[in-house]
Amino acid sequence: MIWRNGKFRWSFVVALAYFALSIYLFDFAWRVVNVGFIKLVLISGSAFAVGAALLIWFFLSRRAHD
Amino acid sequence: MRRGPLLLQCLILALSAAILVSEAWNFPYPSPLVRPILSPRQRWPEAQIKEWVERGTYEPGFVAFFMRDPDRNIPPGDNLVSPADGVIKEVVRVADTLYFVVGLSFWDVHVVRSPLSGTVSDIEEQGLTIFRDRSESADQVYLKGKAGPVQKIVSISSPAGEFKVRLITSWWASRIKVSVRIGQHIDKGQRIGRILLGSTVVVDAPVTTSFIPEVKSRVVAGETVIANLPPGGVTK
Repeated sequence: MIWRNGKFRWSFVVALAYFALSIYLFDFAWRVVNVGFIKLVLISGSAFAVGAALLIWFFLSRRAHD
Repeated sequence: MRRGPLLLQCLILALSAAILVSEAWNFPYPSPLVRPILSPRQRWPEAQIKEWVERGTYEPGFVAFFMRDPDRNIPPGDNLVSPADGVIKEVVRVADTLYFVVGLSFWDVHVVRSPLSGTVSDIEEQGLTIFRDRSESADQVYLKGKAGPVQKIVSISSPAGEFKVRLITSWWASRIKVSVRIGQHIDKGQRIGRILLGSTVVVDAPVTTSFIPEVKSRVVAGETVIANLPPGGVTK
């Protein structure tokens, strides 16, 4: 699932890094941007979903290409 | 088998794990990874500082920030300068005395400076016991709403009269240092002490002045003029 040919799957590594970076950016935005928590969750959640969809699309198309 | 990609992957995973653990460990306060890019007020939230005060332990970075002591450009002229950094809470006249009440936040410089030149005529402590007479603070405008206030009062004799600088903190913080002694001549803007996690500095000024600072305006110790004195400093 996450391990293949003596190394991690890149999709796993990128997914975890993307999640960690998102948490970091959300923490920063929460403290700096003054738009209210619910609005911030909606905006950042949408941005996270778009980014995740792009990553999934990228890895799926790469797999189809291989 | 090539080791390069695996090492790179391990590095990325370790960094990601460090970010996640750091965020979770410090929640709800900022993680050390976010702090450097935040302003001091966001870096050390009030709730976190209050927790430190209760525990009696502080983060070294905050201590270094709190103990900063920048130089100030003292304005010339016959005037009173603010004794502390902070916000003007009140300017109240009672009889012949004007009380300038400066409120300090956790993020302000806590070095207290003399509002004018003169000679230290007295240094007094008040409220060092929680069992003191409750009426002690009832008639003192600057202690309104303060629970268990403790204060050190530095009296300064000058040609303009007898001024007092009150360094006030709460009973549970109760840490005030005065660095001048009775009989010592002090210049306007000179450092006279420090409140450790204190809250208020008050100047009792027996003066009439053509202007007073607006309530809620920010003042800088030793730099912001809060009242003018007559030329030569004699008021009566």
